[in-house]
Amino acid sequence: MKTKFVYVLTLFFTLTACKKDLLVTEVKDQFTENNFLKTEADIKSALTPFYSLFGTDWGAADVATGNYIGSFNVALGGIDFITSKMTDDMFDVWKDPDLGSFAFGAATFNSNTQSVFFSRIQFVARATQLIDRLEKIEGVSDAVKNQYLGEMYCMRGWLLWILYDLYGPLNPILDASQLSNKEMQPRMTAEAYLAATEADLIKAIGLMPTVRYNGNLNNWGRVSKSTASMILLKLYVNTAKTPADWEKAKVIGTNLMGMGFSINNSYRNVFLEPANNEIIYAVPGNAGTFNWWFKLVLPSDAVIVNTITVRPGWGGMGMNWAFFDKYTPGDRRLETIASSYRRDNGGIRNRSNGLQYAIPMKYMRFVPTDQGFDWVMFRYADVLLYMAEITNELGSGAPNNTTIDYLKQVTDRANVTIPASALLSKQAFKDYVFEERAKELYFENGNRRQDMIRQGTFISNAIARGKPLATAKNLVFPIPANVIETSKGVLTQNNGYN
Amino acid sequence: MYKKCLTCDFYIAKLNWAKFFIVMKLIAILTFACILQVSADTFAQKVSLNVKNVSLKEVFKLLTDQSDYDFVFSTTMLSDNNNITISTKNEPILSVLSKVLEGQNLSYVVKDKAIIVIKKEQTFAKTIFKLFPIKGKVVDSENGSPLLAITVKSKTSSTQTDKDGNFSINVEDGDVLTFSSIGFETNQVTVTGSEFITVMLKTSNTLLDNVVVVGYGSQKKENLSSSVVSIKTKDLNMVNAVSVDNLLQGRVAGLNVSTYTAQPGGGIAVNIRGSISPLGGSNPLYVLDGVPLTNNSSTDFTPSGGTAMRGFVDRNPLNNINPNDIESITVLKDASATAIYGSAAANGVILITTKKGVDGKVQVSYNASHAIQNMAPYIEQFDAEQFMINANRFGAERRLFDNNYAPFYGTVQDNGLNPHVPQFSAQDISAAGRGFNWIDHITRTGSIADHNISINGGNKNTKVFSSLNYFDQNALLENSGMRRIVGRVNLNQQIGKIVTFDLALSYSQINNDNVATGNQGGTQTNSPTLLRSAMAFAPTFTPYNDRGELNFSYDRRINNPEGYSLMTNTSQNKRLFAAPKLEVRISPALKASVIGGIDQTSTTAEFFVPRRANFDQAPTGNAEVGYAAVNNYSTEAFLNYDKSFRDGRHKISALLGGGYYSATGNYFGSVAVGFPTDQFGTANLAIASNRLLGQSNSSVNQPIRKLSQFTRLNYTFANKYIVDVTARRDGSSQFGENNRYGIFPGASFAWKINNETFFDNIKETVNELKFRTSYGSSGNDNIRGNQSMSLYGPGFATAPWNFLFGNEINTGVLQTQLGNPNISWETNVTFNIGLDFGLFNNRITGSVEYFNRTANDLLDFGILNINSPVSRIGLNIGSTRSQGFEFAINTQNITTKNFSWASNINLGTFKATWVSRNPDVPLLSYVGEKDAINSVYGWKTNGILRTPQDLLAVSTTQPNAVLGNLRYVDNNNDGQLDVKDVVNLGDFNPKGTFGINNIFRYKNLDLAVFIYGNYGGLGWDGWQAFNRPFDLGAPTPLNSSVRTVDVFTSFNTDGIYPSYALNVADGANPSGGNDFTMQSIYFARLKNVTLGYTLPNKFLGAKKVLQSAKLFVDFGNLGVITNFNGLDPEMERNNGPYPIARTISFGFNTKF
Repeated sequence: MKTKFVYVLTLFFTLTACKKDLLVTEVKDQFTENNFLKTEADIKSALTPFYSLFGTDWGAADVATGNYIGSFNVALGGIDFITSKMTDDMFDVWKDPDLGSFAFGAATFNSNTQSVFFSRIQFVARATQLIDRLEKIEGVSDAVKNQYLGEMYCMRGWLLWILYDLYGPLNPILDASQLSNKEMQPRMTAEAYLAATEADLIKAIGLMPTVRYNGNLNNWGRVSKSTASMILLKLYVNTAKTPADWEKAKVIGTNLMGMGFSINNSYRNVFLEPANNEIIYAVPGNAGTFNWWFKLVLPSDAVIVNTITVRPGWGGMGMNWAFFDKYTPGDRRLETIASSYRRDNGGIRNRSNGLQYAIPMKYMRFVPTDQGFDWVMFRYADVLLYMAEITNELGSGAPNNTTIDYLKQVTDRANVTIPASALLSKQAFKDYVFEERAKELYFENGNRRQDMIRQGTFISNAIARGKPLATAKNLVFPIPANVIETSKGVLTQNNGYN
Repeated sequence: MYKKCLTCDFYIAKLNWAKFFIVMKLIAILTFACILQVSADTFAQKVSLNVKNVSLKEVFKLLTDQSDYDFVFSTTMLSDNNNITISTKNEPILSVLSKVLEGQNLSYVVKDKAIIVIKKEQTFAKTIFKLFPIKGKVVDSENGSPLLAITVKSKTSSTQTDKDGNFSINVEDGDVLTFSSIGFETNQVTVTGSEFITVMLKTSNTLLDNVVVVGYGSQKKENLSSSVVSIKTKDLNMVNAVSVDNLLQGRVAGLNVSTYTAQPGGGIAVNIRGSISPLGGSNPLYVLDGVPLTNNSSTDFTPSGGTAMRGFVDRNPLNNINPNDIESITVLKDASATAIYGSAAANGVILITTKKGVDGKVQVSYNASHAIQNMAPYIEQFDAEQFMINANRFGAERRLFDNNYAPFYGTVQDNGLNPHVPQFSAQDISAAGRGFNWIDHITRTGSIADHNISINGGNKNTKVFSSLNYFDQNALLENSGMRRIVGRVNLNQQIGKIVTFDLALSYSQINNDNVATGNQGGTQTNSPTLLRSAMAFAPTFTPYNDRGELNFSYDRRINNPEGYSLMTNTSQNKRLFAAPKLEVRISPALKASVIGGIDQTSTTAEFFVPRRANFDQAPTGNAEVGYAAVNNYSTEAFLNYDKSFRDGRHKISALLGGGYYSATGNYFGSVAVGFPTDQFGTANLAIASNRLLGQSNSSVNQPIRKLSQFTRLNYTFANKYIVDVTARRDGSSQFGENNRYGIFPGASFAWKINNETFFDNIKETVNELKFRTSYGSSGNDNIRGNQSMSLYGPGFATAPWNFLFGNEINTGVLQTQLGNPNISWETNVTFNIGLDFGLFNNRITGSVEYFNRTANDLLDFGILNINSPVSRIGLNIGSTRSQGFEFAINTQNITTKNFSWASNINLGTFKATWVSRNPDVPLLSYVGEKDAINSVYGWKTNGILRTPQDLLAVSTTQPNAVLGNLRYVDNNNDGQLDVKDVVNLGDFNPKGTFGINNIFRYKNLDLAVFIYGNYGGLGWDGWQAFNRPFDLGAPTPLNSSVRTVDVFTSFNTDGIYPSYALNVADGANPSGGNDFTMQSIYFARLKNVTLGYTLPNKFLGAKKVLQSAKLFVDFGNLGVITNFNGLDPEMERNNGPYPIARTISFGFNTKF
């Protein structure tokens, strides 16, 4: 008996001591290094998060850190929402005192929280990593490979441009050999940074086979040659200093004009007709996605706005009356902006009885229960207005007819007559184009901030609106203070935020 | 054949070295107490002797030759003795010896197989101690079966019974023999003669108080050499007991139990000696009836999909163990004690032992109580009239703010344009009255019904303890409660003589009605909960409008609190626990055990927001059904060897064992929205238009598997010195592939000073004094083993990296983790030193100890460059330390026949600090290398800037300040406020936690008063978070706390809270903190006052069907003494905390 038990126990101990494979770490719900990125489906999955950054839902938690990454296009917190608080068009009902009064400092935003998009620099490195893996991938055809490589170059170029617009030149990792380098590199020069961005977009234009997806609705939402061109055009226009820069802008603008886009007959319909010919890029939406736009713009007691029946929203933002007053009566764009609404108690609320702002509906078909709809990001009218600006810059005096005609395509549709005074000089025309851009592109993807900065009115206008804290430093955002601290001094702060 | 002892003149017959020690001991007896007398003669060996006039020496030799006995004597002693003439045949040797020594002035004692001849000193006859051997047998009082391994103790020696229950021991006349063993009541027998005695032992209902369950065995409390605290549940207040850890609050020095939510069955934060692992967790390892619970996490979960309106549900995983079933709880605090549990034990171990059946008459206990719960004062919100008045006031104030008007909100001069349109007219206000009190509407008087039945009985072979608990709480919030049923059967089966089979089996089911409370992040608008909604919903509305629909508030995002009562939000929690154990007593000293563990916990949750709840974020309904399970399986085998040598002078206790453990977890949930009808609830998700189908998900957590070997050796010498050495080797799938195995050793030493002879003269005063010290290491394996691997995943189900191409949603996959194959456990090294004492015959007992616990190889994330693809990697780096003192004292203050008063007080202190940091993470400039782990950093403040003079005074440091801003202190006097002015404001951890328990008894009445608390930790001001002046003044006003009127505004420049104007200086404060809202908190909570009345026997009836009965009334949470500004210093202080209850319970405990 005794010996038997000792025997059994000895056997048990021996077993427990030896079965090594029992302890292998198992991960059942994720890919590992060994089984990921083998098929075209894997490539699609790997590309998707870069698109997802542009989604219209709130955003996602970063899978690596758990930190929330807000979407660029979420109505309540996207780039437009953040930057419009600092421009003249938005009435911020909820008030973001930091942004609205230009009181923010380097410590106001933290890279671990939502911040102002700084942490997206990580996605540049992720793009670099994916591009590197795609370059080396085997078992897929060159056509497939080039398609996805082109998209990735476009996405990386786009991210680089957004970060430049918000922060100036940073230190993104663009070279795959540097991905695991523990030493952080200093910020690139503006020239090098822009050249790299430009190179990515040009590469993307070269690699992607498709010009546009307006007629190919299965792939509606993918970037194409025209998308990359549009980003490049924005980059050129917003960074142009010399006539040569403007020439480059003109070339790419002209290319875009030859890509088959046209201006829609109706301003209102640009935002209602799916994949219409004016849209260069839109984030697709349907009942399976979210969009919080109507929640944002609809007051919490609104039931009918400009004849359409709605469900009350959260009333987070409106359009300043001063901005609303820029539109002349008869401007067709006013069809998409409401100056009064019917309340759920039956009454009407308007400017005279306490409504402090106009309602910038833009999308005049109410989509219930926060379902997604196509969110227009780039469109042909923007190209036309840029072309008017570019050719005016390249001209020597008053605008010529070609230049005026670019503008006229937009104003005609809006039922607006260009005043003669606007055509008298280069400067007068320039100023008028900016006014027209403001009205045409209201609350579209942060255009207003870019335009005001380019125009040189971003700070002066803020001060005039009673924001004495606005200074030149605010043309870009500060790099979050904790990032500066943890970079051990390698990453330098933007001027004025130290 | 005699051998001469070299150092003395004693002769020892047939000397062997084993006997030599006995002889040495006897020499000691002879030397120090040399006068002994022979009395007993019960030895069986028979001899024949026929001699004439021979010397005694010769006689002894003859007797030695005929028997197994050796003779020990001194030759000088024999010199003046007469020669012997005797003739006997076949007589017992001792009887012969008596005859031989008759009239010789000599006597003898028998020790084992030696007969020691000694001198008889008549003159000291009355004062001498007279040793004589006595034999006897110990049997079970119920069935008379012999009992093995019962410890028998006399004044001078001790022994154990053999397998037939027999013993033999030397006693003196009038000596008291003590018979004791685990599982039996101690019995004492006074020795009056030399006859063979039979002693009956009763099986004990409770484990002996002085026996403590330690890992893989038990030890006498007095022999513990490491830091171990044992609590018997009979000493705890079991009224309305939900979970065992809650009961331990304030009971054990160094065990920090914090109740952070008042939800029924809510989660509890437990740590032993401080939480020092930033990422590894601080929960102790729970061992239930010998089974280590590898994964003890709660399966309750907060529904994930759709829009958030459920707050957080946080349940204690130990709710499914009936506290009434628990016999004892042992807390292992130092690494010497915990090392036996190796890599899982860094945060200490809590051993829970349930009650066992006893042999004897079947005993039935029935305990029942009923409780009424009332709400402690809650945060007070404005009534309708005040709401309207203040909405107008703060609305006008907001206009100033919105337009940056001077002097309070900017520099713009008020031009009178954009005048404020008051939200409410004077008529509205005068008609408002108090309006509707939403907090009152959603709360109620709570009740708890708690019933426990246990049946206990068995015979010598089969013993069973079985119990049933029914607990039903209707908590303070409408639709919030829990109902629990727990059944248990603990079986103990003797199979043959040496094999026993034990089974601990319990099954529980808890039905929770959940009401989400607390802070799930976000605001009351984007993350609403019932209480948040009730606090923000305007008091000017009633729940329903004229059409019978639920009203909206001014801000539609505030859910109508009544809507929550239409929701389904339930979870059903089940736990099956089974621990079969087979024990084989191979020999009296050697025991082999095999124990299995099956622990399956699961939760099914159902969540449904109907359309008619009219929640703005779920207008077409929202449902989620989910299931989560955690399963633990284990098997362990071990050998225990316990042996005393040389009459208990050397005791060895050894353990050798091994185990295999596996824990898995899985979860799935299904989300649906778009319900055409409310009719089916969660019963038919298929009818939903299901546009969130993409959010349905399932996941399987990685299984944890462990293989272990462990050993312990405990040696006690002379009942004075105890040495204990432990080691465990663990292999775990939690660890990185390059680091799969770890060894965790521990050692301890104790010195029972009171057993030293030099202690004899103060023994009356200090009856127990033990010094002990230990050193050892244990691990924290609460890490994700997959951190060794690089992984790519689809992200979180609720917010996936998805994108729509065309009409098809595509799932994105991102790198989630950069692998580090070297990742491994954290190692805790603990040094412990302590003193246990007992004074005045144990009227005062207690202990004092100091510990120093250092965590090395802390699991932390190495922060990679922010611009790299994955900005962190799991690393073992850095070190933290917790050190402190613990003090516990139990006193019997008064012990008279009718009145007694006993107290126990414990206090534990600790300070948890960094020792070394991760060199890869640059420290923020204001953070000290060795700061406390939970340090708070921020600017100092100096009140509010109230006047233009104040503004002038800070014009250099706060140039853009406006009235109502906080005034910050330029700490380094450099004329500007920046990172250099950030200072360490203190530590969130309390400095100490304490518990004070007093028990009074007067005749049949008893009264227990229990207080616990802590002191010295920083905390946030608990009122300010509920002031929402900005939301109150919004175009769609939200209700706010009545304290909002204390906010500094243009109309109240005496306000005590800063205005909501932006403080521009904040943009230069990277810590984000300041001391304005902080305070150092202390509190003492009167947790329980219990008054009991035990029915005198005369009321129980002659037949004694009812054996005992006790009635009681208990007051729970009577009050708190604190300096804290806020609702409660301990529980949730964030937005929408669960209301705190004051409980009165009535009940009785009966035994049949």
